[in-house]
Amino acid sequence: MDRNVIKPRLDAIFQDIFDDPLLEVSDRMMAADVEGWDSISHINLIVAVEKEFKIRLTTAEVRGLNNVGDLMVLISKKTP
Amino acid sequence: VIVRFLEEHLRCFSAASLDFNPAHLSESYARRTSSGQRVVYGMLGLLACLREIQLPAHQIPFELRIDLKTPLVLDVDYAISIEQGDSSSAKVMLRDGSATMMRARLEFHRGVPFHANLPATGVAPRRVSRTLEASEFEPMPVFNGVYSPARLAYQKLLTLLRIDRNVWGDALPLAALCSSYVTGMELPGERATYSGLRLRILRQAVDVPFSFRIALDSYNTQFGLVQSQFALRDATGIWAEGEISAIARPPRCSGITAQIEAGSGRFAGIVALIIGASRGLGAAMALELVAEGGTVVGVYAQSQEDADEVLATSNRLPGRLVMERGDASDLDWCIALKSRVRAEFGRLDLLVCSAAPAIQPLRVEEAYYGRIQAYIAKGLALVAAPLSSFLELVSASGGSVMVISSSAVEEPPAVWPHYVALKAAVEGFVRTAAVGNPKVTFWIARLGRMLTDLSDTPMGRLDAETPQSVARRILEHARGQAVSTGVRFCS
Repeated sequence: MDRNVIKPRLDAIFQDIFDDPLLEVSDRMMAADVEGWDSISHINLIVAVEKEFKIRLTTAEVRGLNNVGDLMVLISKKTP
Repeated sequence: VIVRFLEEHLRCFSAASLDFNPAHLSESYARRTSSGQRVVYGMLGLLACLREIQLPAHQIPFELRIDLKTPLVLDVDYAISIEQGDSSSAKVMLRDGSATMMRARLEFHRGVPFHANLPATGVAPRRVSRTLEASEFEPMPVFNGVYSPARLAYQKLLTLLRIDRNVWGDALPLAALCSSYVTGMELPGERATYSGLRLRILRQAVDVPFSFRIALDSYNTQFGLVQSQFALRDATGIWAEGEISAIARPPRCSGITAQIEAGSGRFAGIVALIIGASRGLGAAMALELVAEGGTVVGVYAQSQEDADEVLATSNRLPGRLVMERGDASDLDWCIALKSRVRAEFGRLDLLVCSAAPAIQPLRVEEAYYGRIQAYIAKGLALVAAPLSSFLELVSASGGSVMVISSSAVEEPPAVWPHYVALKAAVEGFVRTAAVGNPKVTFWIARLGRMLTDLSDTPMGRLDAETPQSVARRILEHARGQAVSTGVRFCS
């Protein structure tokens, strides 16, 4: 899936999880950049991504994510 | 504005909500969870904030979103902050220093508060939390029942929290209480950690008792995230509905469940003393030594059920285990135990210091200073007191001391300043002890991620090594006579 398709859908997920309608993701965005991005939010985020894109992320893949850019690459690889 | 949750808050909330989940009410149960202590009901956190919200005239809450970020604990000062930008909504936060523990948003619209006619006796299907296995989430369970708090218990809770029924009405508190009940008692039940609610109140006038329905929407096996649809209905129809999120802790996997078999007698003749022997790594080391023919005096402070379990497991193994309950951070208690060890066994070949207080996330901030100080003092005493007392016995037999440290000393996590400082202090203490005790071999075990009760969280569980595996590996170092003196590190 093209990142231009992924990004707006990821924006919507982030806006919902972090209850911030103005939040927009960027490649370099990390947990420290978003108020409230803690372990519970991270789980909610991963589960929401899996549901939205109908993919499964493995433990190793989740642990390997350093920023939102990594997540977008992963989604792109796993979606048609 | 500061709020501090006390025992009385838990009692009143449980009586009103009929949520008797043991994570809030049982010390012994809570010690076996990752919090290591009882936690405050998430909905109690929300209700405690209501008194600080200035509800606009003729307005009433009709929508609530709450994110429970980190479990609240007793006897800690939390700061309530309220943002009310306009008359139609309020944002509420409970903070511990700079950490957000709970975040909620309430939406208001025009309405009149309604007083429900609550029954004298509370109504709920269960008095004991449901325990669901992972496989029971497969058929997408749905649970229904009839619910109402008891009148006096409800009023007592609102009075304690200074919630004015004439302002707030009953619909929001009733829905919050019922959501706590259905999460902690029904779905996912006993192993629940409530993490979020999105609630829509469709009308204020509610007949009680009312019926609830909670239906599983999705279950994520990797993280244990349970997402459910929730609806409250009276004779007129549905009056509130929403979605509940909770983390379902998996069945306890760090207990002494591994099949431990008798070994080849590698530790026969060894007398060991293990501080913190009822749980986690200490328990695993005790059983490994006993399985290999050793004699172990295991010290524990509080976890009686765990100690009994370790003792029962040891009974079928070739060595011998004696469990001693007491406070190893108390030097006088250690001195008394030393007399008993000397009298009964005449020697001590191995001292293992494996006990430490439960770790809560703390930060280097003013709000946490007292807790950091107390944590380090207690944790250091759990090593310093037994080492000060038993070192002469270990030295007399030319034995070993093994102290459990952590790889966190090398890579400190941001929210573990107390733990990292404790382990660094312990290492310093041991290295200094080694200078004056040349007949003793000192081991500092800098261990990585290990699966114990205290690390058993959705993220902490990932790639964690079992205590049995770690115990087997590091005990190899303490086998037989000391090969060299001074301090040695293992991982």
